[in-house]
Amino acid sequence: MIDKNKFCEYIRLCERAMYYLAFSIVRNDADAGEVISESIYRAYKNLDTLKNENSFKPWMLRIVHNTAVEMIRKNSKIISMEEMKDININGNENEISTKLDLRDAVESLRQPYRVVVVLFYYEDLPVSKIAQITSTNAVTVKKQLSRARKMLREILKED
Amino acid sequence: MNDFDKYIKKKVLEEKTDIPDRIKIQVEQTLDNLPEKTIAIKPAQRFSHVAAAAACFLFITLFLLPNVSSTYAQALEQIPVIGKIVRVITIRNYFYSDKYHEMDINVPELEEGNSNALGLINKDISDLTQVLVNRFYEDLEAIGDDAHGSVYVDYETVTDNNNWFTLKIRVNEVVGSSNTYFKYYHINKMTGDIVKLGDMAKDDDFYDILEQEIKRQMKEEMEKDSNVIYWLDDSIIGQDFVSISDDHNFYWNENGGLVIPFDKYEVAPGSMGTPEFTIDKKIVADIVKPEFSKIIP
Repeated sequence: MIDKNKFCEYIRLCERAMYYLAFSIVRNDADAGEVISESIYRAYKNLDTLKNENSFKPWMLRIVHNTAVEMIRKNSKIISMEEMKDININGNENEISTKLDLRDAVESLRQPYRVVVVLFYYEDLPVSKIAQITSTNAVTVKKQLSRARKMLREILKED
Repeated sequence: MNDFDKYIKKKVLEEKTDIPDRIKIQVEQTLDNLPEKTIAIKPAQRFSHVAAAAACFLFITLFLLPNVSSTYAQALEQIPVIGKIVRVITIRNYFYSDKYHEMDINVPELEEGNSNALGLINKDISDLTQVLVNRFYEDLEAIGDDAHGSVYVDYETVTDNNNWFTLKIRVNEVVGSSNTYFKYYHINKMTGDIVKLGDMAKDDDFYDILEQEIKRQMKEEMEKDSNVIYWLDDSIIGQDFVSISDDHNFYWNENGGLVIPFDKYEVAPGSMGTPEFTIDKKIVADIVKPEFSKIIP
């Protein structure tokens, strides 16, 4: 059993990963902050379900993923995938004179591609762990990554 | 790793990827507020969007009946067939009430001769309620008057006829916001066996057919009423949420329809409550084992 101090240490070590994952789903700092706080409470409450301390990071990221997904679903103004796509495309067009950095390119991806890209490229997690976090399987994650690569190539080429 | 992956990872390293200070501060504040023990916290104070949407209740957790089929089956080899009427009585009531906390747990017990099946169900219910009582007191001690908390357990006999008995346990836990879970216990009175959904499946098509029929009903409801929302072929997350397993909750309605209930948030937003779908008797008759098609109500 991890005590409170150890738990806090672990949280600080994966604080950045939690933020990027939450942000990639809820897409603003205020909501990402709330998702992280709620995830920390949930994780602490259910600490006894963590079987192996070495798995803390993927376990924690799975909680963050589920909490963020729950938040956008509970929000009455859910933006459909197509609407999100439109918003992203329009947003990029407005910034046409600005150099598009990688972060913008990632943000312009649709779900679930944003999440897998963040976990794979930013957090350097293997496909198996990403599958665990997003409640899918390795084959699905590989397909998503492959499509995400194509999309990123296209976006960055336009830059 | 291919060249493109290397290129992207290099760009990631080049970017400033530190997280905003406000997030760091929020994380530290959250950690500071954690109690010394692992307990239920009132998230509504820090999670206003969700709390507002859920109107101040959080449903936590359980459980419960482990995957018992084989163990139970072994234990039940020698038991007599269950009698016509199973008496359900409240054997214990746990009650507590103060300004911020309330507990009202009614513990039922099944009575009918010396049935091992009933004994196993009674023990399971007793274990479950003890877990809830212990958790309530642990939270009470840890949270004190900083947050409201309550737990309620009640029960209902859903079916009790010559062939079948079903008891439904309802658990409602409230810590900041709330959640409700149900647990159904079934006994085939013809054999005296405890039955779970998978025990009735003629073959693996059973699950597919149930899932397809549930999705069909979901689509139909959504087409009829724009206020109805199910997470069907979910576009946000890209996965399907209707998944029936061998121990999924179920019960028979009075017309012989197989009712499949879902927990809150399992297949729909919280505003949809705990949705239920009824599979017509004619569909069910083709997919259950012959011995069950004979005894369904």
